[in-house]
Amino acid sequence: MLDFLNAVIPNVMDKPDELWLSTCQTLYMLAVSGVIAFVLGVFLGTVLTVTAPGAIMDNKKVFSALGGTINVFRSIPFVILLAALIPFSRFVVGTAIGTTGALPPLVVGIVPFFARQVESALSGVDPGLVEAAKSMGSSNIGIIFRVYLKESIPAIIRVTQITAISLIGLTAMAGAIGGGGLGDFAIRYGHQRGQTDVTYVTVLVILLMVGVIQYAGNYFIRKLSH
Amino acid sequence: MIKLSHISKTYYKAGKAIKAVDDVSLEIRDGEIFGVIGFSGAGKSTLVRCINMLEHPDEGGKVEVGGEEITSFSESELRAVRSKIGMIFQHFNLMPSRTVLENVLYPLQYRGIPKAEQRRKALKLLELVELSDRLQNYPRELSGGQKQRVAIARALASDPQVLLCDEATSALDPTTTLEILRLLKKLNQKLGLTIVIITHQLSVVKDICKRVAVMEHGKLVEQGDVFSVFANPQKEVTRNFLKAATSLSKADVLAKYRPDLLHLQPGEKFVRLTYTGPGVSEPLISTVSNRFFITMNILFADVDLVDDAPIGGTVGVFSGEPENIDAAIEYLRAKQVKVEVLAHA
Ligand SMILES: Nc1ncnc2c1ncn2[C@@H]1O[C@H](COP(=O)(O)OP(=O)(O)OP(=O)(O)O)[C@@H](O)[C@H]1O
Ligand SMILES: [Mg+2]
Repeated sequence: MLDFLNAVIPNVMDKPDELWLSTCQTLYMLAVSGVIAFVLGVFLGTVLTVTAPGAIMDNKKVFSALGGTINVFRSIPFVILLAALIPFSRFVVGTAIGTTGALPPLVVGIVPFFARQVESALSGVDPGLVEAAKSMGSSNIGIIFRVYLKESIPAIIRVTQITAISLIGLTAMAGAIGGGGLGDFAIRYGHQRGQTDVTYVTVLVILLMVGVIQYAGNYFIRKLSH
Repeated sequence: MIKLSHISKTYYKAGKAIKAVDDVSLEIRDGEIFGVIGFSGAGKSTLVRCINMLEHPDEGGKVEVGGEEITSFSESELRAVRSKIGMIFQHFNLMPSRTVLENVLYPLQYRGIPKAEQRRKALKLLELVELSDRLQNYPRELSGGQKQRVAIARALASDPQVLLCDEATSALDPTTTLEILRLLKKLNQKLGLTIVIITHQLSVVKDICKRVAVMEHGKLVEQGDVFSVFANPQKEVTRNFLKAATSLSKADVLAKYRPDLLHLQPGEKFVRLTYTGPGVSEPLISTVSNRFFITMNILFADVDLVDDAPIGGTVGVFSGEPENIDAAIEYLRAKQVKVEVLAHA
């Protein structure tokens, strides 16, 4: 077995520790930026939903300011965002390099996308439910938590799945400009030194992560849909 | 119980004003079942949403519920009032992610009521609507009638004195509609609940309402007790409801599009007799036949009970001497029968 692996993927087999470290770095970036982006995205997506014209907290100023900002950030290519946010990262996390330095651009890069996804998930909530909740005397906060968020749990899981997969792509890109992780690993060895087997193994590891996200997401969606 | 004074509601869309409700005043008495009927777009839903202030009426209108003028209430005071006014909807609006029991618990939670008490109350209400065997089902596992019964239980959870029903039976088949109406009647009698029923179905009003208001283009065009409004309609809309609801309107279609099917002979008249008084029980048709030497070939008849008094009519062809037919028509009109000659040869 070992002989076989040594023969097929020699360049990976001579640095397994580095592969493992890169995988951990990717998981670290994914987890930390993912959790922060999840909270921010759900918050902003909810704000967009409830401040929309005719919604429970209709507020044109907030709605258009937030919507506009999101659109601007969504249209900036991620590589440019990485460079542009270097001073911001230094200010927030004290460094602009390494996996920690990659966190601010990852969050800024994914939140606008996720907020829009959450907004569309919440828009699937039947306005009749909001009306019924109002008629029962629910407050706006009550409606947000007990109707909008509660009723869209499966939809939110679905968009989280999609976003997490996009986020893996972003971590790879962030890695390429000094963030570490699997992207960095693949570029340094697979691309720059022509060790194609490194590239393929990296792809496999990433596919595995995507698979786990898909599987776990689908499991919870099935369990929580009625 | 409910008093609306000069309620208007104007929507502005693309700079254009739409007056959904136009200066409506009405009073709904304690413990009665009051109907509001009107065709689609008449403004019924908007009006009923003004009663619990889900919609704020235009300046100048006043809403009083249970003796309190709520028009000037703050949002948090309104929330307290709303929890005392139950509301049910055409599409039930149950929370799909919650079981039957959890749906009924919804209005009881976060109000400082102990958990055990919440549960006891929800179970009692579900027993009242005969759904005790469905506690753990999700709404999508229920029939329309069952969903509406859950919605009724939910609306009653906060012990309201008023129940607003916006087209609550419009999505149900006739049998289920009757079942829901029977339940509403029971609640009205058992709990003394004041019920406001919004509908475009005349049958619903005839079945359970004591008094009715007819709406058209945002205005309240007629109101009174159900029998007098429908026995003696003053407005075209009201008449249209009556016609649309009975098979007698088929006569218009027949006269207009297929008069050939009537095979009218010279002198014969195709007529519709509509009874608006208490005289339906009299054998009017045989009386005129004998008295005026004419025959009436009855094509169809539809007599219904409105608020326990008969209302309806007969459609058929009169044949005989023209002057006798005219005399018979005169006679019938004198007996408060509305006679319409829809076609003649
Ligand atoms: N939020 C709104 N914004 C703008 N116009 C509205 C709004 N709600 C209702 N309208 C308009 O007000 C009028 C009355 O609507 P409403 O829903 O009260 O009628 P309805 O009698 O309940 O009709 P239906 O039987 O179809 O339910 C309609 O012309 C409708 O287009
Ligand atoms: Mg309506």
